[in-house]
Amino acid sequence: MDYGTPILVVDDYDTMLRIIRNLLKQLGFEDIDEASDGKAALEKLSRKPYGLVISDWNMEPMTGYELLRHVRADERLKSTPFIMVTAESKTENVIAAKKAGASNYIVKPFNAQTLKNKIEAVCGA
Amino acid sequence: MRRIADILRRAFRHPATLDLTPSDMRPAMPDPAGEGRGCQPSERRKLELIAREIGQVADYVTRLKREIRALKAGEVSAKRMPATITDLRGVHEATRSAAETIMAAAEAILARDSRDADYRAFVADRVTEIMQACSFEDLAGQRLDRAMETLQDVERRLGRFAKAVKIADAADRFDRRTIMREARREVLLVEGPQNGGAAIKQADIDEIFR
Repeated sequence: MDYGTPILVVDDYDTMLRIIRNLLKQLGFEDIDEASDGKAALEKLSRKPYGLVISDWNMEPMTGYELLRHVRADERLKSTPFIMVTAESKTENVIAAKKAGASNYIVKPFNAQTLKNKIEAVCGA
Repeated sequence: MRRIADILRRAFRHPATLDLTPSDMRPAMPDPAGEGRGCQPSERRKLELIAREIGQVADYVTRLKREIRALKAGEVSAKRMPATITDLRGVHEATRSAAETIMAAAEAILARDSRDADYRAFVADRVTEIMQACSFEDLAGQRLDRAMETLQDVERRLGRFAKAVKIADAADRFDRRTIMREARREVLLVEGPQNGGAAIKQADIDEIFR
């Protein structure tokens, strides 16, 4: 796995951003950026290439689900691995995310091992 | 008109024992050729019917006013709800503050070189900070209990009111903001955390993504 790959973490709660950033650092990743919703994430994605997006679902004004659909509809971004990390835990959400092209889905609360496993699964161990 | 008003006044005072006096039965308009003949029996029946209906309306209005008073809407909006909002804001702030303290302590431990001579004492101090921060749970729990008590009380009062005045939920909602918010939630599948066993397990999600 390339630990130098830039990762964009998207969540509207500062604490969750900090938790994920610290877990990613523990795993060995160093290039980590943050955005507070889908709109802010799209702006960052337009300026810098990312090797992985880890996004919450429920955010204003743009949800993670909308962000995912934008990413998959964009020729330049569509192959970016995208992990949804969310409290949305209904089956229909999981199915919708898969249909929209999510690479993986983690339901909150989660632990470091789950995050590690999913990152390895989508980025290649 | 004055006679109708008198009837209404009596209906409001004694809705259950409403009765019409002979003067109530006289035609409302001047009757120069009538020579005091008063109402025909059929007119009297109509008037009695109207009076009975007015009595029922008055009875309903009286009950409605009594039930509205029992709601204590003034007390709810002036005292209980502001106190509940303050409690919930307090819980939010205490949670945020505790998370901030815990995260800062954890980050400090991660950033410290474990080879430092005072590493053990440093970690012990940070762990103490983490444990102290967790005391928010006690205060937050008490605030949440108080907020839940108020919401349950309001729920009880509204339920009693709806039953007493026999009103059902309206089929349509006209609050534009609520309609927009719910439409957005529906389209974008925004529901938030599920309670208890309603949430899908990570293992089941993994199965879907396999």
